Amino acid sequence: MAAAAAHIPLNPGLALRLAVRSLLRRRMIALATLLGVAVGVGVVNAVLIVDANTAQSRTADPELPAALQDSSPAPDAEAAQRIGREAFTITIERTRGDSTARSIVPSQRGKLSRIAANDGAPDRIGEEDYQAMRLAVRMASLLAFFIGAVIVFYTMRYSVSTRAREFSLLLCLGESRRNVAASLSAEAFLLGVGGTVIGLALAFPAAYGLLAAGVSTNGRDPLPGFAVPWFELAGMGLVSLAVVFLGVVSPLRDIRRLSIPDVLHPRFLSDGEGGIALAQKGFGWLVPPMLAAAWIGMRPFLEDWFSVVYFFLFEAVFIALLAVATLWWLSPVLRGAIRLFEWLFRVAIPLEAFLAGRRMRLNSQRLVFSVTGVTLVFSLLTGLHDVTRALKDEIAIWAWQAMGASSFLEQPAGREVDEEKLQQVLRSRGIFLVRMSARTRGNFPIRLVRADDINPLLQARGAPPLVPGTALLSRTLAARYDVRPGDSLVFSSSDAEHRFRVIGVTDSIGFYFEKMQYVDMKSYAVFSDGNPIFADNLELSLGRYAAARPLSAGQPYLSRAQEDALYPAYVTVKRGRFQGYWQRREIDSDFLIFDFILLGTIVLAGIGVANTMLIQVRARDREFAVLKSIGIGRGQIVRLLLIEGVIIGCVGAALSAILGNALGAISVRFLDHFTLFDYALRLSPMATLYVSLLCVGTCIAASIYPAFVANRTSSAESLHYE
Amino acid sequence: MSEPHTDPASAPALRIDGLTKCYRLGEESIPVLRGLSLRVGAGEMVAIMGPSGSGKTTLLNCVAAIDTPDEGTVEMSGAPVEYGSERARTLLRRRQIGIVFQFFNLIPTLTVRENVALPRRIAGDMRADDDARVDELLDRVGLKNRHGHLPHQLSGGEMQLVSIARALVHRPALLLADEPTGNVNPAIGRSILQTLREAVRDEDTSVLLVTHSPEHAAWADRICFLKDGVIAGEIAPAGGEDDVAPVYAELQRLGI
Repeated sequence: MAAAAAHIPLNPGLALRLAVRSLLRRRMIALATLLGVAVGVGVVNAVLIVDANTAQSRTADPELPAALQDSSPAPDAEAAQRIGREAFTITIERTRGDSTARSIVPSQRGKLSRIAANDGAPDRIGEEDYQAMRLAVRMASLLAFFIGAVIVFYTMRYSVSTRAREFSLLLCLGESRRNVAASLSAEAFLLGVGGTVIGLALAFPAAYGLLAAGVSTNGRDPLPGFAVPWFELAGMGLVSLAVVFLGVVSPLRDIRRLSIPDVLHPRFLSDGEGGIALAQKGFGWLVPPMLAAAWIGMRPFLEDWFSVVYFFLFEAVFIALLAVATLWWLSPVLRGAIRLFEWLFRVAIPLEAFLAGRRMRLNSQRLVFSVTGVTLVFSLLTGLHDVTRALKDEIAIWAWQAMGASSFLEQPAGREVDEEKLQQVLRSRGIFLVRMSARTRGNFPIRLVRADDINPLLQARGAPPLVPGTALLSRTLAARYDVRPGDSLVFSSSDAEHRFRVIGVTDSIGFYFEKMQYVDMKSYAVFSDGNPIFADNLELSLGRYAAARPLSAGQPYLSRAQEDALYPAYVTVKRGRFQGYWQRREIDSDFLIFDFILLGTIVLAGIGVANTMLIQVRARDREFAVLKSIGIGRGQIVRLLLIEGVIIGCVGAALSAILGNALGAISVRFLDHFTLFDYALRLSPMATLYVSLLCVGTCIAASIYPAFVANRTSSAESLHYE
Repeated sequence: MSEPHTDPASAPALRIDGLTKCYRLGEESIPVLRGLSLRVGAGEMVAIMGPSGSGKTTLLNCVAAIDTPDEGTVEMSGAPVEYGSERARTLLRRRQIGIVFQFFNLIPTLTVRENVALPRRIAGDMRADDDARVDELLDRVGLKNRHGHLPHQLSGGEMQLVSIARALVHRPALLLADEPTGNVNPAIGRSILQTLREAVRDEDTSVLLVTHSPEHAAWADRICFLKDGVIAGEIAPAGGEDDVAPVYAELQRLGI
């Protein structure tokens, strides 16, 4: 019999026809699934296109004089750096105990404070900071896609499970199981292909708009032109198709096992809910703690095996999965939360709260998908907020501490400085002035300073003076290349080699404002005048730039009168205390890409929740009709569904506040530990409140349409026919 | 619209005049009820019999105001049903009508007790679960010991008994029963009809019962035969529930 059935030929025409009819009949659900695929694919593809059009290195700085613009290769190339007319290869000669090694590869080892403390403990090798941001952007967009995938997966699965009766009837009428399965696959294919094509079509204008607005994936400038990463886009399309098909794998398996008599059993004799789980049985609840224990045990080994970024990625994904598993296995927790909200709502709308709460508690296993989707979306939002807040705080603190006291000066062109008069002004007005040259670009941004300006400061601190043949490095540059006092910088050209001993790693010389990423502004090497290697270029501009700050520790920054006293030798071009605002604005624009991803993710969440509720409303026609027949009004039906939306939103908001801040804490700790910056987690109750309100608002908005659908359904039809 | 009766006490529980209802199927309009008129007195049990598609369920839907007639009037205890007002229709179902369906239609997520108490809750009594009326009805239908069970844990007949208890809990003036014995065994069928008769006798509830079974119709005070969208005949079985012969005779006479 089975062998005979296997020979029944497929009828693709009928399968396709049934698929199309089914999609048209449930067109709102089909449309929502289509949009879910489209938004998920659109977000990721837009990010991929933006990434393909993002500069991987710094572009020319219009603020610098053309003569001093660096013409050296990109900083990541281990190659020559032009200083003046000659090209040099710069290497670092590190002395660690008895060994000496030369390299120019950025190692960015460990935390800045450890380098500065010179404790000698080598840390794990890090990644370039911009590379980390690119990975973070990709990770965030993939997470958005993952959430979309969860929504699509669940929608497909649930939508199909509500149609078991329809499939059984088809089988009763002589349709083969293979053809029923083919019809279902055709539905998935149509939704997958349609959603992918729409997503791709949406990605192009979105990416174009982002690039036009100057948004990139690493904070650098977008490139001119519009490159399309076709290979990656095609890969993404295949992944989205695979996700849609994953959603029908389980239903296809069910169709093979479908017991027609059971399914066609009168509905009133079945449980009507497809298996209401009253209690969790077995030892499934042990899965999350065992997973967590396994992770804790494996973590130290994985930390050694993976690079830091991939370890972080792995850990973040693991925590998200653990959260989902916990929600799944610990649905009693969810039921408890629902009971709490039900109790709260009972004060105002007791009947609706009772009906919604009872139903949701009994369906908590099924509800986990909706709550999980919402939780993941808003956890991502909360976590990203924590990270961006930490980053912005770090910049604001640095900008104030390192630059707030300084005024940045420039010498007007063609004007000679009367040195004696200047020194008199500095003494009488209590001003500390550091005169600098222009800054080179390349692997090692170099500045000359006048030894006369800073040596008194160094001597006062007991540090050796800066003389020809020595160099000082900023803490950021030293950390990036793992340079410590005692190491040497070797500048090699075709016919000569110049050696500079690093006498200190310090930021006390101060910074000079420039229009660039602040990490670049913080990275510089300082040499004194009198080094012949710089005589034909940097010394020409020495003294043209200057940073001035008060000598008195009690004065926060130079007064207007102090600045004016430096005229006509110098004019103020920027004040350090305003630099913080500029940096903040810059970092805001760097993070626009995250805002785009989050917007897409929130749209996905809305579609997902609305779709889930819509499917449930369709499956609950009869329930609503019964409620209407015994006197429940339309307004009460709407409130009933709105309460369900509010409960999903509130539970999702509560869980995402916990999970999101946990993800934020992990991310901030990662950034703090493995990048050059000093990040600290600072939780914001107001931000958490806003995200929670957004979460509840999204869920309420998503439940409005299903509520109208519920009211439009004919009670007479729903009640009479089996 | 007919004039409303001014004295509800003397008015019939249900008065239907010239009820017309058509369904549209594309361009075509299919008449189901064609000017049907019917009275159901207070404390009277009326059975409706008729062939499939004769409009029995449509009639009940119009009376319950879950469907709207095209023409004609329906009065409940002397007051016309306001089909144009959603609020009035909701309040009518909430206060004056109880409905028993062929397919039970219990809320699957509520226990037996909660299902029975639901109309009281809807009316605003949030402590209805503990109400003596709920206990009384559960006792009457013999399901007091099953009060904590969910619907899927009951048999079909038990579900129908719960459904009847739910329909009676708020003491409706009129109970509409759409083939309540259609999916239960004969013993449960008798039990259901017994419960309905008790409601008529003890609580003065009027019952409009749709059934295909002459034996079950014979439990009614009056049997109306619906054919071609109107009441084509009517008998009052003198011998009560065992007097089935006149029912068969009338069915044969009308060609149903």
